[in-house]
Amino acid sequence: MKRNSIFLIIAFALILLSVPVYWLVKEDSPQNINWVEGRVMNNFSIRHRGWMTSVKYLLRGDAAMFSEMLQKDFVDGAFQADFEAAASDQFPFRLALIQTAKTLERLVIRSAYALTKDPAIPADMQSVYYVMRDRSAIFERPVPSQALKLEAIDRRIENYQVLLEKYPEIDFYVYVIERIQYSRFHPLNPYFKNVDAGQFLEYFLANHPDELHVDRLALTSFDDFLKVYYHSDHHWNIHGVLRAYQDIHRMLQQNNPEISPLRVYEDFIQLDGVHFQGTAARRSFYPFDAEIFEVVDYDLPPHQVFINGVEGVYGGSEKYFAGKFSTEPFYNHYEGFFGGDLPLIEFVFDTGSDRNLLVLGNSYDNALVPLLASHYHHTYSVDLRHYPKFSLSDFMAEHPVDDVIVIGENPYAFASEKYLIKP
Amino acid sequence: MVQLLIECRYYALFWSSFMSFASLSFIFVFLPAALILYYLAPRGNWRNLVLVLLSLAFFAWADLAHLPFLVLFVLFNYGFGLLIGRFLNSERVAFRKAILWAGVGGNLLFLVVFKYLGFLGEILDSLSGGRLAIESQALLLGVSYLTFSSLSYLIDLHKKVRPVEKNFLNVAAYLVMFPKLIQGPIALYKEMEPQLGQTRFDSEDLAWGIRRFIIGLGKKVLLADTLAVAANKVFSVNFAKIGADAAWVGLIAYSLVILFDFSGYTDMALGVGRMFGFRLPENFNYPYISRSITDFWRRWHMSLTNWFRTYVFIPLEFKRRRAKFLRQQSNILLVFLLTGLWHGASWNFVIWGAYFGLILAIEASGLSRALKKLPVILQHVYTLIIVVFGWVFFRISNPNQLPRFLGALFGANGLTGTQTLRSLNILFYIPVLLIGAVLTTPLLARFETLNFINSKVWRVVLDILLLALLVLSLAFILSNGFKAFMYARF
Repeated sequence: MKRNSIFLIIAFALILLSVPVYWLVKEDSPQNINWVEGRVMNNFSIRHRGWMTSVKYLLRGDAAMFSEMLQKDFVDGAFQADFEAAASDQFPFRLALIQTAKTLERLVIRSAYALTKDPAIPADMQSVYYVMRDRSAIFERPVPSQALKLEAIDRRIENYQVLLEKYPEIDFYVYVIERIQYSRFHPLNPYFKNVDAGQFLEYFLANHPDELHVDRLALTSFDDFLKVYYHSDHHWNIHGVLRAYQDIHRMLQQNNPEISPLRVYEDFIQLDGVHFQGTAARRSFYPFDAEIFEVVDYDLPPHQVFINGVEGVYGGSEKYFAGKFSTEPFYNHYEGFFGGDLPLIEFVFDTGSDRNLLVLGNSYDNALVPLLASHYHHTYSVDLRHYPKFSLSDFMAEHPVDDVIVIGENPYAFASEKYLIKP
Repeated sequence: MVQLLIECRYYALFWSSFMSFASLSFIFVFLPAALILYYLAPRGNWRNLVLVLLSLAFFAWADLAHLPFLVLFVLFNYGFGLLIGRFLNSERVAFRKAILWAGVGGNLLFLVVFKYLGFLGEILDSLSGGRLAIESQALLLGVSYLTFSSLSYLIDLHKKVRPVEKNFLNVAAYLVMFPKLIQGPIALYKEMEPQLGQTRFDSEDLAWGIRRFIIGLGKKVLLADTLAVAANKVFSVNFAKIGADAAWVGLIAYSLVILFDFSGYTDMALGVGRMFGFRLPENFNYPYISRSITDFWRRWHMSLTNWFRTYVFIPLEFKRRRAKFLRQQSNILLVFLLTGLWHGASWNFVIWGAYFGLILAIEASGLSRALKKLPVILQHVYTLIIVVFGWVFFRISNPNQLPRFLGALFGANGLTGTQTLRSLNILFYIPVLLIGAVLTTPLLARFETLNFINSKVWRVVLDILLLALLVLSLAFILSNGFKAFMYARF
């Protein structure tokens, strides 16, 4: 063997052989959760439908099953695809290598944008996230206006009109959460053609039925966005939650002066040791500096919580205050602290009110609904993503309510036909 | 959709479930296992047997349903090879030719059934007003390469270029050898026959193969796969919404994707082939620095051009040697119509072939001589414009879309459309385009010819850089598998 090549051959052989050896010696954990990607990793435990099973059928003389397994797993390529996915997911130093690739991508992105004045540049080559050049925030790009249709908004307005007419005894409310990608304060609006920039919200505000009570978390500037939203996540932070709580309480009070007084919180708590890197940082795998996770102690009166009909505890605030929380990078502390996305949560308070509230929305509600619920007897929080054709009459048959409020960003509140409410 | 699949398979843009050279299953499971098994086997038939079995396993992993057809295909050609050999010295020339044509016909039938049936069905369907319907077969992986190899085998035997091969394993190894099985290069039988069963372990061959494989992997993963995203974004939007900027970026990106994907794959094939001791023919020689289209086709997919020249063009020229009027031009046109059709079973490939056939015919009629009098830079510009423009026909299969894209290209929608480089998220590919453009030239290869590079220290430094390229390519393969969901899916 010539010396010139020894180094290369040995190094190449070591790389090629070390990876399968690693796969062989590494323990296959069936619940190998990756917080960065928010999924269970594929592993090589695919024997349940692999060649072993096929061979077993063949040995038993069951040609039909052997043939079926062969078709399902091998001819259609499912086994091969699973194997490749496992090889990728179980690769040694996988996340470090991916971060290396992403770093190179970001270098290319920075060089491409070096001569431009865009205040924010893509966070990576695959996702839709942009990062401010001073790394102060990472968020989605402006929504193009062609992604939204006025006809869909008109259908939603008609839908609200029908609900108002069918249920005159119920007060209907909509609270629009103005996210940055729909806002006129998105710093990239001047750099993109035909963006929403708040025009669809204005259309809804101008055309909704008069009997429908509408308010919004209105952004006043980009700095205002930084105040009320996390800088690396699409959710509102505690300041946004409390502002929405005040807005909604004011809106409810106009129809229902008897509502109990607004709960006022002034003591903000910074949870030491909680390093929050939100969805935008996680999905683009951007090395965004961990945010300070600020909360308040809601300190609500005694109440019961029923999750999908079963009594339980919603949210992990008590554990967090006791210092018990995950320290995994990219762990979802919004969900961990306030509570996860569940189809139906019922709050029961005995604070004197005999009114019941139905909240229709999504994950934004997780942080807000307990506060609203403290002003009602029964409060039902429905995640519309679990009920694509939510029927109010069906729901009312089991859970009578006095007030209904839709809380969400544009698609949930008024812009998407996907969330039409069946009367 | 069928068109897209055919194209994807040909240029291996989106291999996922089967074992491409750029997959982790190939690099970390198949390749090391195959090398160990191959070199543990004694030379000669045993080694050939291992190679054939490995190749069948490689094929089965990717396309198990067609494995029996592949085996039948090998047996068919082995049988016809023996038959040709048996009557090779017979004085019944017509009978000898009939045997050859039967073999060639069988192979062409195989090609038609597994590649062109859908296309033929479409033609018959439109001609008969829907009365004739042909059910198409799924594309057999590598069918175009397989049949061109087998035709080369039978014709070379018939022409006595090489002696008849009685060893079944040698024939099977030549036809199904996995480094060239799916995407070539198309090695002629006369080039491969002396190597079959004769390979021996050579560390320099192994090192050469490793270097070439890593370079190919880098081209494929870092350049082709990256730029393919940009090209696909442009070619999948409504062309009425893009301006000249996005259209040109998309087209240039696609031109580079085609080159780096295919030449990267060829580099990997040549590298893997050499690791196993085989010298496969080169396929690319910096085609984008050509000075004419004639020059381009001497540098692009050289093994295919060589095949058509050897088995179609030269015999045609010989057969029609008495024809005087536009003989060469019409032969060129015919060859390039076939070349276009070979690339894919749809009209856009036929148009693409005709486009190059016409230009080559014009060049053969005197344009080449005129071009040579121009400054070199203008010769390059002329060639690049024609080649890049030709990729439009290659990429867009729907004829209704062609005028819209060409309009966008030449500013019908303005310099920027409603879909801009920013809104398509492709602005950041421009540095990659520039790097790609530089790498289409022999600049780096010239760096290797410098004297000091050949010193031992520099050789090691270059090998370290190559290993870094390997790790980076793996990082990008893994990065492509990075799937972060909006909400946790546990």
